Amino acid sequence: MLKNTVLDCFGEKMRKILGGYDWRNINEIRVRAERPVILKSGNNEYFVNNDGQAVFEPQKGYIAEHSDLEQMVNMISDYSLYSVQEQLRKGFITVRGGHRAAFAGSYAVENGQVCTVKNIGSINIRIAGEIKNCADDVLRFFGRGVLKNMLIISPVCGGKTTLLRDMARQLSEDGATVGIADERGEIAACYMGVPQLDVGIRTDVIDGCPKADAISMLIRTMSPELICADEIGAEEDFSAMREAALSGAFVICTAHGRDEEDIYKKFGYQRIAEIFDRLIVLEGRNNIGKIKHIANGRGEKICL
Amino acid sequence: MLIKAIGAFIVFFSCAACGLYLSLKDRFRAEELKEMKRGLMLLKSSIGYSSKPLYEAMIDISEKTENTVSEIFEDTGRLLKARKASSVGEAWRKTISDRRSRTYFTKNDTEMFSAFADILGGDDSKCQIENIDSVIDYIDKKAEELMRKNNKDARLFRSAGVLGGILIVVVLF
Repeated sequence: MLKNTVLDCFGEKMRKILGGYDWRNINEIRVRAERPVILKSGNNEYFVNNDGQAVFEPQKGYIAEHSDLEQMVNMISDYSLYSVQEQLRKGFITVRGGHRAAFAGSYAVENGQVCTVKNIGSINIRIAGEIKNCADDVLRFFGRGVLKNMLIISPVCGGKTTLLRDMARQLSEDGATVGIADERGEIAACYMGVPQLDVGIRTDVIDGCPKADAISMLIRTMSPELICADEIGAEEDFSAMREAALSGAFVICTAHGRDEEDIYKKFGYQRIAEIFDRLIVLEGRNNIGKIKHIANGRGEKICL
Repeated sequence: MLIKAIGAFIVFFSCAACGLYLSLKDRFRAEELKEMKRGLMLLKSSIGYSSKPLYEAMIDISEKTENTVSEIFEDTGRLLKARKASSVGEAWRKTISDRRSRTYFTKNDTEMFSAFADILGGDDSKCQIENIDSVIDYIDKKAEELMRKNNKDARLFRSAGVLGGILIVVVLF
């Protein structure tokens, strides 16, 4: 299934080449015009030859042609570029299976705003991955089914979104009505409105909409007990979360930072302490998804 | 004598049928073009208002249109859904050429539709709508031209068929 949904992003020729490849542990496929196709697995890099076998020398790898990229654009957009213009402006499209296709090329700008991308020179397919039950430790610590306002903190690529998604899934499975404000489509990876990643059976997702607006809409329309949002930061995000907290819903959000001190410096102590009951600090890039410590909203560590 | 009469009957009716077919051919083409226009109007609203992907829009349109036009939309939609074509133009051309013998579209019509399909799917909704509008303009002009021609020629073809049949029968028998 995973392999099929990824292969759907490629034209016939590349589908044949990549179809013969062993896909386990591949996180990214990078296709650049007139350059060898690169497959990334963690920190390792491979090339793939014309027979679909992994090779380590770039000169033996399959060189992508312009027509391969054109066909990829057709396949990724379901032959309907007009229907993904909004996503394309942000530089990526979420495809069936939750994978993300990001584009680089010449961007057309009109009145200071990005209109579209033309002459696409490289495409990066990031294969969606979810780690089920990675939130077990956190949920066990708080007690199953117990809801609190939580902020997950880690540097980039530290596993914040993966942890948030699994918390949403498990709390939803445990009976809570969950609303996800998925502005960038990273939590639920919706394709045509349907979450492609498992976010639980009692979860409603608003995707592609600014977080603050999505949170307000969720409160007014879906009456969630818990609201999840990724990478908060703007003033209006905090206002929307305050509104959520006052309306009786709990919020779980993520933010970039090394620890709670970083977050206080960035957003102000008062704001964080006012909204969040618990701050979950993750180890970061070297230990993805691992919890470093948990603090209360005032920054007092309650679990090491 | 009986065989002769049957032969004369067959010849007469064949000629009359040929005349009738020639008199109706333009009308059939005009009707098919109008059905295509209906399909394209639906496609225009699917692209402009609901931003549906092409395959989904085309399969929906196939249920709302009739005859060959419905088949063209359905098969193109299915080819795109199965990702069996490298572009929309390729899928559209294949579908029309598979039905070449069953449509009243002329070479000019199919060339116009193919040029339209080559642009279909790319760019933004505005360009797509302009592209559809240009084909609709072509259809309107052709349909009007055909109806005018049909009004003028239909009686001529029908009479020529019947009279030609009588003439052959008289000459041969």
